[in-house]
Amino acid sequence: MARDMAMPEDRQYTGARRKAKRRRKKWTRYRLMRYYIVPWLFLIPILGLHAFVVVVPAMQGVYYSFTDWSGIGEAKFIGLRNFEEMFFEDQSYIDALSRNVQWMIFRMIVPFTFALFGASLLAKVKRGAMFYRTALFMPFILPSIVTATIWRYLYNPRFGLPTLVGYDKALLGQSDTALWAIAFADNWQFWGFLMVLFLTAMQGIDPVLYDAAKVDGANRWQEFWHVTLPGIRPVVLFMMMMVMIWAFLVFDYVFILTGGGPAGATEVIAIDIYKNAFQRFEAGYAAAQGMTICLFASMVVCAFVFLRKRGWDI
Amino acid sequence: MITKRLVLLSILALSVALLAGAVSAQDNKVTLWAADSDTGSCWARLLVDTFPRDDIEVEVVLQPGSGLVDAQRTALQGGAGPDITFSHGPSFMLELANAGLLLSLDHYADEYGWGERFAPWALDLGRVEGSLYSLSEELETVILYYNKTVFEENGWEIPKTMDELYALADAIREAGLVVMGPAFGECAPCYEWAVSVFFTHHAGPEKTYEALTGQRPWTDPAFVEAITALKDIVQDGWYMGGIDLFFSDTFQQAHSLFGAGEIAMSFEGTWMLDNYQRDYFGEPGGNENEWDWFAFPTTFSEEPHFVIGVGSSWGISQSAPNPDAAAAVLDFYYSTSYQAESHGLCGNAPAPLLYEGDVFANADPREARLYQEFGQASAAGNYGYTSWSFWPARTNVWLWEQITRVYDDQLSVEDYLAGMQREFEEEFADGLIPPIPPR
Repeated sequence: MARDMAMPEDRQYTGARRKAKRRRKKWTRYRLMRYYIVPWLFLIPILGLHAFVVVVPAMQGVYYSFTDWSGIGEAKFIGLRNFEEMFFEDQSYIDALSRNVQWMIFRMIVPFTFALFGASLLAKVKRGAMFYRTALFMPFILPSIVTATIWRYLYNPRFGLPTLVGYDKALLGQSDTALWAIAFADNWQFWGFLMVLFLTAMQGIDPVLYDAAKVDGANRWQEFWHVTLPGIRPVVLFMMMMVMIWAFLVFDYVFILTGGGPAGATEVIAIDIYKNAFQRFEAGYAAAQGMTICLFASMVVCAFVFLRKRGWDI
Repeated sequence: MITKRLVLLSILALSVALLAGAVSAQDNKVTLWAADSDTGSCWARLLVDTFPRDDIEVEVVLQPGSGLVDAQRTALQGGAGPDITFSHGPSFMLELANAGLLLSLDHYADEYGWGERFAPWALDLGRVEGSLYSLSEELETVILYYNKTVFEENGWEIPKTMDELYALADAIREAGLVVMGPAFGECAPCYEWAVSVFFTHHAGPEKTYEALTGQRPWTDPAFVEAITALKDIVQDGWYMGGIDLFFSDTFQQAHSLFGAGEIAMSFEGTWMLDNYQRDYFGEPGGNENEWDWFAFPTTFSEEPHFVIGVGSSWGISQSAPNPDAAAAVLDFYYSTSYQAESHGLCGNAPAPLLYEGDVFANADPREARLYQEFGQASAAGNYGYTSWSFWPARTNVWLWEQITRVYDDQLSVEDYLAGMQREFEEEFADGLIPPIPPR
């Protein structure tokens, strides 16, 4: 203290500044380590793995989409030729794309309706609730091959469901019904998953809101429309975004049940990609088709990010 | 000190010996992949057990699922994969050879005398620009199986001409039965079977040969007539009783109905020879029926004609560490004794070799008759072409993919053939046509 007092004022000031600077430096180093370096050290293994199995192959995919690669051997750079062919010459791609859009519309309507309806009913069930939830969720964990095979037999016009209504045509064998028949089989597996998500979201809604609605004289439909649906809106919208993206990836059910037939009626983009890559030996063109799926997914995500920035509760 | 050095030297010597042994074992190990099915595991075991050379170790890796060829293609592209490569047939092997992934087999063919062992057309199928790159496997054709018991009960005769076949179909339908199976709900490429047969049996093998060698367009009126005839019988409900069932039913459903006598005939490949007896007729099928077969009639001759094809091909990978050992394994695999034993034990179709004597003595007499008639027809030039062996890849996909649109009236026969011609011309110009044996 005595020494401090003996020091000139400007020296005292400089010393304090130096100390503060040292403290700041230490704090900055600490912050740098704790918030910037250490987390990245933890992330490096998974980032390395991600780069190796996702980023590098994806970049290769981008490159091959500009080549005439057959899937083996050397690839020749052909610029935008694949994209030109895809959008302006290849009618099968345009048809496949329109089927994916139909699939998306179906998936946005039917499973969502089933799931919202099912979740609303189950939310009120107290006894045996777990049994119903498990039973309805069960199809989702079954492998697609099992579910698809079950539905192949269910659709059989000789002994399946059509016989119950006296219908003697094969739903999977007609070009105007096959896509919807597959979509319904897929819906059977998927809607239970959606329902469980919605049910979980519904449980987070404040019960006071329902009490208030009852006091206001709301009926079940008004309760659902004005309380339940706004309460689970973020989950519904998020799942809509996911369903829109997944709709462009559909492959397994179509491949198992019809392989894209009959007469190309169920040929979606993924089936077209498979044929081009592995049967027509046009892997470069298939990569370009894959890029468009990526593009559609990015557009959907961007749309949702935009809406979120505009204040939507997503 | 000396003891220490001795110990070190001993360890070093042991390591070198072990390393040498490992390298030597690695060099003499030949790997190949097979589908993890009953047939695949059967012939794989037989090959490993009976391969006679002790200095070569054969390892067959059974791959689950149906994507064996796709998986192998990816592995080969990555510089891995088996030493002996397998693919669906000549057009697939042509792609691998063009990509430089296969080794030329010319000197092995000379060394082992494969030229004398294979049917001449079969060895030619594996050539690319004159060099041999693959060996054909699984001799195949498409025939009409029939429920012999049902035919005898109804007094129906085997048709020798197309007109007789049409009359037979009418009689079958009058009896309340379905004319023929199978259905292709599980197999989109299988639509090519009938197209291949109609090109050869309706338009004729010479014209098909000319088209495949670029001397005649696929839009030729003879092909228009052939595909129109095929379309008519499909739309008329010959297959499964209706086009919707033809498009959607499974093989199992169709074969069961055939065994039970509800479907009179089955327009199938020779790969079913073993299966019908084993699974669908007699005790295994829960019926007392019998089956037999006849060659699909033609519009121009009463002599039996057959489309020829191979189900798969084998070659040696460019990256195989010991190609000599791989060639020795191939040589054994393509011996008549192994093929006969594998056929008898595992039921897989034999390779297109020149079989002498009674190597198939234990085979079913119907099967023996098939190989006999097939050999006679081949020798007389009464053979045509299966699309999966002789068509280039893109044209072949067009052939089986678009024919369903013809059946469904979405595409006219003329447009279908014009599209085929377009694809063919491109591949012809790029040199992608599999070798077509001269007639």
